[in-house]
Amino acid sequence: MELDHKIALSLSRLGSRGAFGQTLSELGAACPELMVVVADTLRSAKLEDFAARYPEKLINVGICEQHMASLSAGLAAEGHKVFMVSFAPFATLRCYEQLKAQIGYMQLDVIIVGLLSGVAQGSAGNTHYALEDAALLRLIPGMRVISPADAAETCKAVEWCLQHPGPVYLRLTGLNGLPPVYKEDYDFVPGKAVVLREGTQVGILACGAPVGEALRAARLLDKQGLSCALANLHTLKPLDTTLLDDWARRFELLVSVEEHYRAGGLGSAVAEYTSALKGAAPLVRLGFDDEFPKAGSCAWLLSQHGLNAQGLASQIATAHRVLAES
Amino acid sequence: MQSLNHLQDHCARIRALILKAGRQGGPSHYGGSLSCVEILTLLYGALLHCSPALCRAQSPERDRFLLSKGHAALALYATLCEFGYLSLHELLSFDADGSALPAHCLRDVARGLELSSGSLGMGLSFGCGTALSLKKRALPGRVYVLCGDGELGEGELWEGARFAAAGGLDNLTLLVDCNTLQLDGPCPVNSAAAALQAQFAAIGWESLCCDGHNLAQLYEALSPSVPSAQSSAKAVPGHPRCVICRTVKGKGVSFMEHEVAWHHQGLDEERYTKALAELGVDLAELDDSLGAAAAGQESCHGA
Repeated sequence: MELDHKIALSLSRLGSRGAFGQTLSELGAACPELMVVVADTLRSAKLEDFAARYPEKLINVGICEQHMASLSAGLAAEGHKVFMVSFAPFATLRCYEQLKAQIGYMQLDVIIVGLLSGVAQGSAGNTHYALEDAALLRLIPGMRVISPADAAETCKAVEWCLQHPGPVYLRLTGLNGLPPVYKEDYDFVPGKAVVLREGTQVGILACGAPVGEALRAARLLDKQGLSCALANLHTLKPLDTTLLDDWARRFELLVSVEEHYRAGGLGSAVAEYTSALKGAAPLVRLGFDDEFPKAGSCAWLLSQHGLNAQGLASQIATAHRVLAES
Repeated sequence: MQSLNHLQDHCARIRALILKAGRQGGPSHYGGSLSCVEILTLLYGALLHCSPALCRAQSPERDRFLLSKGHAALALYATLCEFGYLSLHELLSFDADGSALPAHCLRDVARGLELSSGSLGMGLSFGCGTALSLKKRALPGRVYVLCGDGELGEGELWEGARFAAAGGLDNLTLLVDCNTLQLDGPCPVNSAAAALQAQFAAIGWESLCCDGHNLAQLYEALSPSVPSAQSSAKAVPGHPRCVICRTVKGKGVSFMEHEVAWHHQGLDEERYTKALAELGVDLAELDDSLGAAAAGQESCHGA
């Protein structure tokens, strides 16, 4: 896909799920071994068009995610490339042992797609949030973990997954209609972060839908006289350690931003790496606290937990001030 | 029906190999391994369209056997050794540090191991994926999944059972090694063979019962071409088949039979000798024949 402004806006209206479904529809014919397995999530994954075009490539197992994971493993062991798709908590936590013992242990070509991860399910409440999925999936050896920043990046990630062997966890966040992060074409390479903004004092490392909020936060901070660079770490595993080697020594402060518990996700992954670097900048990890958040709209939740642009800017400014005064 | 007499010798030899290899490590899963020896012998000795060469070539034409009750890996390894998929040398690496043959299987198709297993309840759903793929590619192979009756406590197994029936996976056979014991003792939920048979029949499986140590009964129940007289549901296309095999945990070794302690235990020299004597297998002869078979294979490869 060659991205331009018009396509970016149209994808943004579709959202990450729509972009996912559309990409599979467009590229499905080019992948004869493709199978898509859903667990009563055909409509939620925006796969109606795919199902109409390729009925033989679509299996809807019903509400049984453990079975979905093992079935996907069985198909992959026979040479299929399998996308298994459900809402993020059900595609990961409900069948975590199957992901470990079958897809991970046998290193099978399965792309696990977690829909509406983070708190995108808003008023549905904590059963439907996934604030620990990246942490869990990161622990399975050989599992790539990709968290696209917007709908266009979701297309690129799906396209990449169609061309490379799994296993991969594709963590889809964000609601429809978010402003696109990408408006022109760029190279998406898993494990290679994309620097979205240069700066001199603070290095912000973000993934998923919060990348857009972090971009706006960096602009706000710039106006306040704090110069922030921003990198989109769309891949939590493998991490872009080349970028981290550089950034940990270049900036006064590193800040990670994610729609995930502070523990276990991007911030933890970055900390695990930079803690061994001599002279590394301190790292402040922004995300959800260790509690079950009260249910509410996604926008309200992000605001309550300091993960919208204003909240991020305020926390980053405070962290930088505290550091300067210490 | 072909004569199955020759398979009896294989059963005794496989039991001896289970004991011999099991002693290589520490405590081993003897009980649940010995209960499925006839099932494995019949599959590998008579029914499976499979061979060491087909596995090495990863031929899509082969039948697939999936060991869902992964703790019976020892029985599968011994069977694969008896039928030339593994050398005796490889078998005796069982449970060694870093071995390719640990106490629960690792997928290694070239060696005839189709599934990594150990955590229970996952093999049937995996087998549904295999069976579905074979159908989609119009391949003739059958998929056989072996689970335990204790394993039927795992919810995923019933997710898979419902799916297989709804999907008409008639190239899929589930064998239940119904030895009535699990790690702590008797299965807590009624696992009488008749009750299990009825449960599978009720959700749309062709469901049969047989004596899991009787090769002729197993053959009749498993042979895809033989419609079963004992089946309450007619053997019609479109249904997966379930065979509840009534077995004895520890079968063939008197002091292990029905004894839950032998689910997983160490075997000392004295009892090992006693067990081999009961099986009537001369170990030196067994080693020689397997060594000779391996040498024969090697010379074939050289040719």
